Amino acid sequence: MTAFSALPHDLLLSLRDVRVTFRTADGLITPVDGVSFDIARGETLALVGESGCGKSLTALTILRLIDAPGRIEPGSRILFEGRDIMTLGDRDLRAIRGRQAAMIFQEPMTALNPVYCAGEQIAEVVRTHTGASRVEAWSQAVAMLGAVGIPSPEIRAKQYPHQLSGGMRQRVMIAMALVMNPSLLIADEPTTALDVTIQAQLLDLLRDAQQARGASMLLITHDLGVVAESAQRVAVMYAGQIVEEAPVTALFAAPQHPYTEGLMAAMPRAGTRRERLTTIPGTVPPPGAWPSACRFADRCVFAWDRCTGEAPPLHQLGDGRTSRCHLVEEPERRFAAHTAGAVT
Amino acid sequence: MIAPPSNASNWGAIVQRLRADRRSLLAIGALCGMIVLVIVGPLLMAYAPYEQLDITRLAHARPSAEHLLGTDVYSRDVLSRVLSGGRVSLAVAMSAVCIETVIGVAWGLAAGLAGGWIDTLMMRCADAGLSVPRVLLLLAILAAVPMVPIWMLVVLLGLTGWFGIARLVRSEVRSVRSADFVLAARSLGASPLRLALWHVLPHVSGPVLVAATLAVGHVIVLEAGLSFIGIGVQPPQASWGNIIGDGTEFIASAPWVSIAPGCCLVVVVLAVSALGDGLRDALAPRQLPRT
Amino acid sequence: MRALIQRIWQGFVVVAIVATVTFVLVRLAPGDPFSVAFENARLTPALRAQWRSAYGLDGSIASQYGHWIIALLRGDLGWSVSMSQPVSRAIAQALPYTLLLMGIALLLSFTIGMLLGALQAARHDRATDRGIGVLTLIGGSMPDFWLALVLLLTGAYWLRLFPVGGASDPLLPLAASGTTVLIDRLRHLALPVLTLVILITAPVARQQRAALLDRLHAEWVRTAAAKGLSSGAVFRRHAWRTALGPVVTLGGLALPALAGGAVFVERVFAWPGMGRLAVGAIGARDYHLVVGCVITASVLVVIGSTLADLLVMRLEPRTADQDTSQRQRA
Repeated sequence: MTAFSALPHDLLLSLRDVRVTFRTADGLITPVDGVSFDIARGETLALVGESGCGKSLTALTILRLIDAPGRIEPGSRILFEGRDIMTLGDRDLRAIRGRQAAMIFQEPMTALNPVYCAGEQIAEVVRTHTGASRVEAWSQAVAMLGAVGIPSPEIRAKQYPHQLSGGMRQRVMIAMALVMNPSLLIADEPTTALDVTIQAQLLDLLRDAQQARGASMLLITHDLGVVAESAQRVAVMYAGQIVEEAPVTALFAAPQHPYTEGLMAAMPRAGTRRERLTTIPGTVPPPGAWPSACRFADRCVFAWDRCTGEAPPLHQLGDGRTSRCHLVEEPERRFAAHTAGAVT
Repeated sequence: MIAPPSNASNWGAIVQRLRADRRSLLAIGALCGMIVLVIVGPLLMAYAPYEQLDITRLAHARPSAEHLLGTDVYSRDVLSRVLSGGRVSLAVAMSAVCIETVIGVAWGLAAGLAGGWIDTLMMRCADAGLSVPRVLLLLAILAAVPMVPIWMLVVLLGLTGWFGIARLVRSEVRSVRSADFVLAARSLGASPLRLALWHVLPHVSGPVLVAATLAVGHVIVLEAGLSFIGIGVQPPQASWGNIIGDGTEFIASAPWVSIAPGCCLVVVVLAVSALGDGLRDALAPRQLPRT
Repeated sequence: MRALIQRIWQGFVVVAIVATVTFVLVRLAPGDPFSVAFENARLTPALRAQWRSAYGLDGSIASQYGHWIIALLRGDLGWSVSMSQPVSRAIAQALPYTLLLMGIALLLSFTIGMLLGALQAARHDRATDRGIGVLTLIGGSMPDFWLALVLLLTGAYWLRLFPVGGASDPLLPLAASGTTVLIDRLRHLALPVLTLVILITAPVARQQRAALLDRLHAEWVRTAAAKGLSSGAVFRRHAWRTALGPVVTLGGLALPALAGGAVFVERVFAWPGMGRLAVGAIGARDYHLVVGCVITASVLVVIGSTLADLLVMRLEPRTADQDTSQRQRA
């Protein structure tokens, strides 16, 4: 992997070797272990993985929102608009948060402050970053609520989170994120807590808003359906590492990493007749208990002795694809596997 | 998701957490020490707590080697009085808390399981009880009873203190009632009594234990206050409160009479508060952030 | 609005229950003001019977209860035998002193307590936090009357900075200027207020600290940081602001205990408030006065906790739609 010192101008965000550690009662764990990816301007990158793989933590590192007992290790580099976020002082960092890069969280009932009304929470962003008066900030907030598709925004703006439905609360969160026209949106499972119908509406909303502003988006999700709908490129995470990266259509057409294959096979698909849902045998190991070589080896149908002895590097496959798997170097092993429960 | 009620291993984990907490251990040690002291102490004392040794010469003697805490206005040895008074104060507090816990748990269980208007009515009564200043209520009652015997004092303290525990139990019962494991038991045909005793009660016991521990602190101070103004434990029976009361008039000339029992009260209340906090932490450990 | 009406109604119910219970207690008390137990050679049995009937003490329990409730609603709390005046007048004279003492003590305690609690949370697990924590633990563990005695001993007898008791020097206004009188009153207030402040600040600080620590890691706090607010703004507007509710709720729930605490403190410092009145009434077996004090105190507590409830509803909008039993559980 080449380290580079200058950011090509169409790359908005670049993570290099980001590592997050947590000090727990049982010792030091590293839930994010050497993650690197880029996001170009106007592009949506989906970060996919099961719970516990570290994708949400990765999202938090971009704006340095990791609190004690967690820590972003000093070797990590996070380049945003050409500047390394790790080296920024407090004031510069705050200028970026909410203005140039904004986050949308998963559960709006807890992510929104229960004692302030919706309009106030949006207006707060405006007032923090501009010198706008309370009145101006309020009218911008109301306008934004209308822009995200909330009917009667002047009334809704005065309501509190507990008075709004789940879908509306998430629209408020989106409004809060969009109000300062950021160039990067970081959406951490924005629709997971919502009904499927609302999910579709909100994803459309996000996509439209993003395209209208030419913004980029990092979309964290565990749902491959969402990925197919909304992203141009995908990075798959497992046990704190990126195991595969590819353009969306290429990934769905031909996944390279066994974990990705497993995820796709596990997706229930309408129109196919199948008696049983396929699952990946075993469970995700917790951060303290990661195997030293390939972390997926004990659940992988293709694994052989090299996999438990040597950690696979992230191979570059060309056309913007990568895969962290020894199968890249020994593709013939793929056809030698005959384990019970193999992926069909 | 509410977990099913505690079983043996769950209590084991709780006890382990408690043992690991230095503050709780210290509190338990102090309490046990105090209890041992007041049980054994009076037996070892050279002077009886009622004995007026030499009222002409030994009244208000300063603390010395023979009288570690000095003597009071009637030349009674203060240390003996404090130790035997401790028996009364601790016994009264713990018994009263037992009574109020039993009443409170029963009331709260009944209300929570009954639901509907019975529940509302029972809780209104508890709310009313909580709204009345306990001290004033006891003042009103004890004003009518000239020389209240200790057993009656204990009963009255217990009868005026169950309201908070009842509300606590009822709210826990309400939250557990709709939990899956209770519904499962009901669908299997468990009678209301069995539900109450076997399924709901263990779940409630943790918070109740914490509340009862803290209540000991409240009651011991309350009894001391009532004895201080003369309507609690009656002389010549000593209790920490009435020893302080005896010493009030002479606070400037013989402060040791009032200060010593007060320090004992502070120690007990501190220990009980620390233990209550420790129990609360042991029952509900903190959780790690979401990854 | 609906919640407010519900709350007031509940308050009425509470006072009604208290009134009934105290009525029962009074009737259970041995004898009445005109029984033979009360010695007065001039009262012949015939006279006693006459007065008893005049005071309605010879009717059935039900009719006595009825009379009593009606009297209560009119504000007539009976006659104080020990003070030779209507109970309501005795209470009306003592009440302002208690309100003054409690008012100042509450104001100071809550202000200091909330600041201390916030400071502790901001410096969590460091020396400041632990140090203040020890102080609040000790301060909250002291019996009120004992602390009063200790402060009286040190402040009035040893240091001689403060007077030994009472609310003011009765002779002073005759000879001195307004400022001197004010200072004198403040000196009299100082020790009782200090006692109450120590006792009340401790649990307030502990509650504030606990509530704040709980909310420091709330998700909305992280959202606020993600929006670019300074750490001070995040702390004040998003953590502390949401941690005020529990403290006010605590205040409301603790009012009955505070009323009790005032009794002992007033006794020790000879503060001429309702607490001292009640204690004196007990000594004189003046049941009507005792009952009058209890009822007045209950009414005040109900008013106070209703106000606290209203304040909590303003502070935490989502509780405005719940009923009170739900709210107080939080």
